[in-house]
Amino acid sequence: MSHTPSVPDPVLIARVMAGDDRHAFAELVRRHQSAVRSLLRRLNNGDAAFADDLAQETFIHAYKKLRQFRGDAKFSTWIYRIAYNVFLSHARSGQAHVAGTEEPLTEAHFAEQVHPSPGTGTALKLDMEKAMKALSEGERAAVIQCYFHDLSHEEAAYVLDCPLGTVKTNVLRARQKLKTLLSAWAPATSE
Amino acid sequence: MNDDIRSADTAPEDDAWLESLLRNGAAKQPYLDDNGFTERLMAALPSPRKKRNRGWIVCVMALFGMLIGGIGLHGMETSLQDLLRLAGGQAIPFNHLASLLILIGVFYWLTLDMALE
Repeated sequence: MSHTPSVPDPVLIARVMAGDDRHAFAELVRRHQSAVRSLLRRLNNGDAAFADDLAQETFIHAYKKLRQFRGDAKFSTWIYRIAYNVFLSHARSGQAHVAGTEEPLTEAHFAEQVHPSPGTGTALKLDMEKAMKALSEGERAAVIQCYFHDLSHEEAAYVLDCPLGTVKTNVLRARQKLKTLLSAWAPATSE
Repeated sequence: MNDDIRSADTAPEDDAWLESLLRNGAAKQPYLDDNGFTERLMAALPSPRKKRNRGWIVCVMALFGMLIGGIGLHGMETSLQDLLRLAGGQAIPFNHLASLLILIGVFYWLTLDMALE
């Protein structure tokens, strides 16, 4: 169940900065843990245990760097950025399960799902996960931020620390790939 | 879904099904229960930084600076006499007081900076 924030994030942040209020920080963690862990799971191709380790690292980084948070972005956006940087640092060291490390996926992998009936949520979820794995790291990250976290392109560019144009290009390329890979889910065209 | 993404992603009408799939996929992301995550994290946070009271360093260094400076400027005997007078609440010559205050100030800021680092 999600938490309904009674005290706004900026107030909690101020409490942490003013008096090292650990209860306030714990509340921030409770509010944002699900989104951060979900993001890292997606970036790590579903490895929940490793993603949780990275999420823990993310929040510890955030705690240490909280004084650098200036409030020009939402706290959630700021912490996504930290999470993505933590993921990248592990990806560069070869620890994270980044895209492209597995057999490349093609339409054949989705061939069994020919015009599936609507409402087959599990099948769609599995196909979507498979398709996401076929994207490059940048494309996947852009789709996750823009669609799954509902960020604007500008916010996604901030989180991913890349130019706005790169985000737009990655989203466009990702959509083209997903369109091909998930074509089995496209509605049948009438002749 | 952001209007920004809907409008700027060049999503033609025949891509509506993909848009729908992505939106559907996003909506299906379940909330992850905490399951002790916050508790484990709070236990792993670095211990709170203790604020050390280093004010005594500043006071000692200021007095030390005053003594050294006073001795250098006015001689040992005069400086000691000045200190005793000050300690007893008596007045000392203005030029002695002024030079001592300047020295105290210099030492104060140097040691304050060092102590609060």
